[in-house]
Amino acid sequence: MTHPEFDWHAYVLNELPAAERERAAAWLAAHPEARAEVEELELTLSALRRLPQAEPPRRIAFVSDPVLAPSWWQRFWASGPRMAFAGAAMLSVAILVHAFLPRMPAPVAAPAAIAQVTPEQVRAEVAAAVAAARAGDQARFEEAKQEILAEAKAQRQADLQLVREAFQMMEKRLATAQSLAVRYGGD
Amino acid sequence: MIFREVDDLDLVRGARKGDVQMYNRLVSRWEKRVYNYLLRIVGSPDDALDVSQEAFLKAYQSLARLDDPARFGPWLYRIAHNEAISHIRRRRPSEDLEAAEAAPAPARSLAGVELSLAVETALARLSADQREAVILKVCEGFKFDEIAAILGCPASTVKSRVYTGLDQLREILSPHTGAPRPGKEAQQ
Repeated sequence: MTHPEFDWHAYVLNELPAAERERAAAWLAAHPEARAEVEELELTLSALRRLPQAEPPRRIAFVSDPVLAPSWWQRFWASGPRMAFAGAAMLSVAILVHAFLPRMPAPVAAPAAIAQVTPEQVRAEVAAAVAAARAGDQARFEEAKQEILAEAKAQRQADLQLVREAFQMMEKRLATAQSLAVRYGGD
Repeated sequence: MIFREVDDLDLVRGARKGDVQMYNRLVSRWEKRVYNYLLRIVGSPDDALDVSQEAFLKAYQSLARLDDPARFGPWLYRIAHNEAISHIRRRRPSEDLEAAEAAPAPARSLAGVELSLAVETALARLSADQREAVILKVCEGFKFDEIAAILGCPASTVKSRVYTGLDQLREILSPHTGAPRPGKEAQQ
């Protein structure tokens, strides 16, 4: 624009602060060669503002249709006094309930339950619990071992019995064969 | 007895309580301005009326979410702006939005007045963003921060669009406004 010190767009749009506007106007009065450019801008604005406003082809109007109307809770939330009244009512009820409720004594813990426990006692209890757990594990291990050994021993006895019976059967067959050989003149 | 003019704030409060007639009074106040604003964005009178109706309906259904009832105007224009953009996108989905907005047809009712036609033609030669910013500032009289809220962009951007648009309009309209051009005279 003509003079960089002033914002001439803001000047013609009437957006400058009063003091700065006065300074700009004074500068403009002293510089007629720059006035034409500002006047051209003002004429442009004037032409824009004088644009005719067309009438809408139809008027826009709404009827009281429950589909279009805001719901009851929207109206309730939008209503400041109603919300304030509701808040005050809830506060009053809370105060009344608090005032007339029978006061129950607070439960007091038994003195025995608040016994002091030293770290040594805690460590001893932990060691005892660990030892008990270990002993339990050992007992369960021994029991399982005995069961496995007994089962293996029984299996071994059964196997020996089978071998013994087979040997006896072979002895009987050998004896039978010898007696038949003697009967028919063999060696 | 003291008479006081009913302002938008009163009407918005009444409409929020479900009084449709209060809202209809608000519509009567704003419909012509909103229609003309939309007419210069979407181009066609029928489309401008359709978008106006959509904007007013959306505004009615969203009244409870209006933070400051005293600023109903900028809030309504924000809705109208969004509806216009959606309308242009629906109407011409294959075209670039900027190109679609670039050259709306001048309003037919303005024909017959040379200067008005020249202004309409000059406005149509601005970019869509510049045209909307200039209309909101000069024709609708909103402040820069209000326009920024309507268009959803920084006030500095709005100011830049308005200034650039005005410079272009001044260049285009200088033969019609009859103002002397010092630079051109000096050249001649």
